[in-house]
Amino acid sequence: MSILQLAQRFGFTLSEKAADKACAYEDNATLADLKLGQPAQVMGFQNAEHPSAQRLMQLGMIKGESIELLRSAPGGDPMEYRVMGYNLSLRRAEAAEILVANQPG
Amino acid sequence: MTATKPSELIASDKNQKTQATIAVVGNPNTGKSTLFNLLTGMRQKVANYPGVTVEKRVGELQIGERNFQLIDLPGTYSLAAHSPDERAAIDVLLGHIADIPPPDAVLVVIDATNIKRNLFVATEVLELGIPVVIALNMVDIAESQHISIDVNALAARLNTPVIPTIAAAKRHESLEPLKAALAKAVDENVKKPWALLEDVQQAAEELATTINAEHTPQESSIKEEAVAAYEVLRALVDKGGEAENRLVELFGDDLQQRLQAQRDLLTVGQTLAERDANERYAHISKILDGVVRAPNDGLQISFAERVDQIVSHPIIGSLLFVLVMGTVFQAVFSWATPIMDLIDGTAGWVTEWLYATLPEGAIASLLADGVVAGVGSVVIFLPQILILFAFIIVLEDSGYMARAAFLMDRSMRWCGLSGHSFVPMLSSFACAVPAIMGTRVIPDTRDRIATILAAPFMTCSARLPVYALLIAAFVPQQNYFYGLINLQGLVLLGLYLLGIAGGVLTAFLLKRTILRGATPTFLMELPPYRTPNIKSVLMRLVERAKAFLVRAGTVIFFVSVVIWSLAYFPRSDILVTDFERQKRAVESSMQIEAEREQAIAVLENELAAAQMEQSLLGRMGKTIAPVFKPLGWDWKLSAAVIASFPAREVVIAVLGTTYAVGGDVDEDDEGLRDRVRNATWPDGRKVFTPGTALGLMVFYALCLQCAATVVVIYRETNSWRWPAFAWTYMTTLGYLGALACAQLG
Repeated sequence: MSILQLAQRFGFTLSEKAADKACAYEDNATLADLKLGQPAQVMGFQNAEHPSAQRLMQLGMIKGESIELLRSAPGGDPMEYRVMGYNLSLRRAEAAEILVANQPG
Repeated sequence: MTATKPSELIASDKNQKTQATIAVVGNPNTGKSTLFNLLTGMRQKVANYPGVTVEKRVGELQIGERNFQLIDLPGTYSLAAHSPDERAAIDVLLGHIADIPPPDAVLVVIDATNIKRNLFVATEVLELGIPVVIALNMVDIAESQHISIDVNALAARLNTPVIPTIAAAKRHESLEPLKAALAKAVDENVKKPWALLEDVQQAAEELATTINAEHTPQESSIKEEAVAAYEVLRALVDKGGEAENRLVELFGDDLQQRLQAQRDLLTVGQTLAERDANERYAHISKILDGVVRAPNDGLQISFAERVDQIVSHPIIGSLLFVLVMGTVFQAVFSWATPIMDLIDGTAGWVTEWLYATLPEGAIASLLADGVVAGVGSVVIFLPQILILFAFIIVLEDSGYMARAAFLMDRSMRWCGLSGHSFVPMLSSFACAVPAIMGTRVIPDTRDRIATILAAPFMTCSARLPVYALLIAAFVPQQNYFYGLINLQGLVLLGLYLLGIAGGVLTAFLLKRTILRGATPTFLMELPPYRTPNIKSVLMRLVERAKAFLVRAGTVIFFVSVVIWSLAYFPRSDILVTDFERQKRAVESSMQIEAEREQAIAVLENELAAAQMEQSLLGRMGKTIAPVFKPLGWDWKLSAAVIASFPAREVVIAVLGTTYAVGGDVDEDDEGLRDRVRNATWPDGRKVFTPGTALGLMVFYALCLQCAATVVVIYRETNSWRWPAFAWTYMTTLGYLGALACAQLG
């Protein structure tokens, strides 16, 4: 285990560039699958009629918007994301409602 | 009464312009409330919206010679409402609140460092057709982050005035352009109809017209004004939301079907909510294109991110949190103590002075033991409350509170709450009053009420003197493990844990029974770190202190006077004559002055105890004693418990009087300790068995003997239902706990 991996394991994001960019997100990946330093783009909702869907969209979870995992709280939940220029915290269960895909390019 | 709109009433008023109302809308964390405070100064009134727990903040804005009514709406990301609390904003904007006329203009406060998300609600407000002024707040911070904004182009594209303001508006003149723009917007009253989704807007207008034609105001009993097209639009877009609920409640289930029919016609591939959000952000992006230039997420993030790497780090962040809360508690207890001692000393001095100056009798006793003691019992907690509050407000305004909620969310979740509840619960270890006021940070109403009901279980500073007396009197000084563990300390720890368990289990049970509902979301913005505005912090501090003193103070004062009269009346003259005779006997028989004085003091205390016994309070104690008999309490203890319902720490003074050691005792008083320890039933059995004593401590750990808390629960939940429930529930629990201890002990 490299020092970088060790540091990430304890919650430090040392540098975004240092992260392994080779790994891509699978087809039905959600925000809960996001990895540190690997931005993705929002694709939509598992269920557009979900009670929180409207609120999440108003908060910037719009198709094509890029989103990045910043960190998670002790125990891996909730998670903190950066989207639309601000930081938003979501519980893992809510994050799993939002579909994501690799960023274009 | 015809269907006159309140705005028409105002127009016919002579001083029409002095009455104009301006609503203030904006996202949370935009500095909206700070701006509101700076605009209105201390001319504010705070109340609750009917039926909900949301604070209604109304202030007066003076522009030149004219006065405007400014209404600060709760911070919101959108006008869509999915809970009664979220409805407050749209209710004010549409003029649904009885004592607030429909606003003549709306001030939308947006954060210059995050214009895109902030314009979401701004563009919704523009659709209302009311004149809008946008305050582009924190332009100074945006500038420091090298974000450049073409304000004129932004105003032109939004077709509404945009006024830059700075976060820390130190000089008042920097708000002058904003004031001028507001006055102009009200005066010119230009309506600029605009709709994002024109087909939806048109459908909403048609449906509104149909509804209004079908239901004339005379027919419909609740409503006097017509249904606004915008409300129908919200009902269409926010499926299952509050706008739909309200309209269906007013016009029947039939309307629900018509709304759905319209939705089906308008929905192509995506829900209306999706269309609304997608097209709105597309529209906003177009507006901002070329108007805002930000250095590709560069500089500002690296600083905030570096701070957050530490503050929100799972391990370092948690340690830091412990350190921060430790500092807060240290401050609450150590900084407050000298001031509290000063208040206590002053109250004691005033009491003595009153007894020395006034002729002996009911008046002196009322002023000293009723009024001064009553007022003192309120004021004494003010230093702790204010210090705790100052910390809470600063933590909120700096952005740290959100980080604390983020860190603690998981640990709070298993009892059904969220991270938002953690700091209020923790504050309750000092005093439940600021803790309950601090639950305003909890967005979910059910979570908030569960937290309010759980918080008073925490061992607050008023319980400590009661524990100190009882533990010192009944728990032997025993050490285990070579003095490392002390039995008295162990009991105190047990009482703390009992309080925590009581609170946590209460929240757990409530969230599974009467407060059950869908798992609340934890969608929380982690706002950028900001330096709190001192003036705004102080204003909120003063406001809360005032609220506490006025609301809690009057009730506690009243209750104290009632308890005083119960303990004072009726006076028995026979007892006094008896006392005088014995006193004369002592005076003539005892030669040494010290001995004589001591004997007289004993007689005085015995007189007070005898007066107490035949007073209303004493009689109540005797009447109610059978209820407390299973707990092993005699009438003296029962009377003391009754007397301490307004404030639990009062029990010590009442026990002091009933056990004839005088009312001015404290928890360290040897005499009281011995008397309590040796108190017996008429047949010679000891009153305080270990079971009874432990039971009494458990009773004080669980019951809600604090009028201030009861009143604050009322104020924060806006109903007497919750304080009544909390009081009954906690008193029952305390009784059962004491019963269990007495029977097992």
